[in-house]
Amino acid sequence: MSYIKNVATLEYTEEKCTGCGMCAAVCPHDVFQVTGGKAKITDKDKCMECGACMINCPEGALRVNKGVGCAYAVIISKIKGRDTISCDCGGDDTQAQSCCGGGGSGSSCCC
Amino acid sequence: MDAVTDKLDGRWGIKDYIGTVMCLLGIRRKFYKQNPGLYSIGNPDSKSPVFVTANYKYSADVLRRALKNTDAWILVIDTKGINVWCAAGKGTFGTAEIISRVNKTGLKDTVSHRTLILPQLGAPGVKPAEVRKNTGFSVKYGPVEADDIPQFIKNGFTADRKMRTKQFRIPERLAVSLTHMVQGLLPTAAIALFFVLVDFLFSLKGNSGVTGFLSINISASLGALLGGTLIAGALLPLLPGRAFSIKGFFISILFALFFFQKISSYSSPLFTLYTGGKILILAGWIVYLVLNLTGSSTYTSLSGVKKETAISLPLVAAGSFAGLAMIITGGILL
Repeated sequence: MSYIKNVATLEYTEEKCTGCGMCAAVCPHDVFQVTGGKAKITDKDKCMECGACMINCPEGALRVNKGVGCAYAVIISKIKGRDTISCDCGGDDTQAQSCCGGGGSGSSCCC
Repeated sequence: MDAVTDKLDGRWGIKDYIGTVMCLLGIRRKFYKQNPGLYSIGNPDSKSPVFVTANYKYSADVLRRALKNTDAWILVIDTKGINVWCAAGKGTFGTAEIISRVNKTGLKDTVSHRTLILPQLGAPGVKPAEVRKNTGFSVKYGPVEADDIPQFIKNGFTADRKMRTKQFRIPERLAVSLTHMVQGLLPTAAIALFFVLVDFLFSLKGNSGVTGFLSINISASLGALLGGTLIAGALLPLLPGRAFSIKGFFISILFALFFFQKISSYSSPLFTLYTGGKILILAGWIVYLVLNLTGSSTYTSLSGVKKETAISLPLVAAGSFAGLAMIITGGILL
């Protein structure tokens, strides 16, 4: 399954890469491949902007506008006039939305 | 300092199954938590591996089920009862909580090694370098699915490419769309009630042309809910388009064709206008429901969702207003 093309904000600065492989280890969609001591982006359209590679890269070679790929979060953030898009789940006093309860695997979302 | 709190059992009891189903249905999910702390499974010693998980009880449950034949430590961190991936996105499954939980539980004195095994989907919230600096423990990522952990251990604690890739297979798609269906019940009932009310209002004019469709109002509304959740979830990869709203649009076309054919025998132009308005509203509801499945899918990006929401939501709104206008016009003139 692949999502909308040419929208992912993933940016990679190859000069900073030391080939440690952390990005490939954390990416849930197999976007990176490390060959010859450097990481390569194999298919940018598979990126879901979860931000795992960015925070785990020790060299700061990866940048992405990380966020939740959730229409409900986009709509609710717009209605509430928030600058950053977030869902309402995750706090003690807020109603957990469907995504965050998790389905079959208990981890079916990115919010 | 918390002592080792409890021994966990790898087997699931009836309560665990009931709790899981209730969570899927959205009942009492907020209270489905495991107390944070250090747990043991099997008979671990100081050399046994340490697996970290969230305090959403289901997350801890699938981990202990996967470890049922393993001697290990389980460190449950406080993610406010939210699953690993969601909590990692928010940072609650994250560096700070891991550091504080490792230190609070005295893990350093319990084990002699210095490795924490984290679920891979926890990665968006974790900076391994900071965890090591503040606890002495280095972070190793396990597989995406806890069920792959026995194989991960067999492979010498390495996750291969398949284990690292998040899928979105039919059982999971059905599970999450079931949750969406339950959440969509109330608004769907409101739409059906609105249809029944307008039928009643317009029948007061003495025109019986719009009465007698109670069951169609209800079945069409429920059909839309089913189409926008379970059917969309089941057929997701088969539906055309990449955007969820386009996939939803195809379902809504099939839905509209089906119900138009159902009412065609009653047809008069005004009746078609009146009923067409209802179908248009439900078609918009389907697109909205499928668009909302993005939040429970495992591969949609924020940039993509923003793009398709900006295009599809105004269309859904316009369609619904047009539908409303058609109902009113048709109803008055009938």
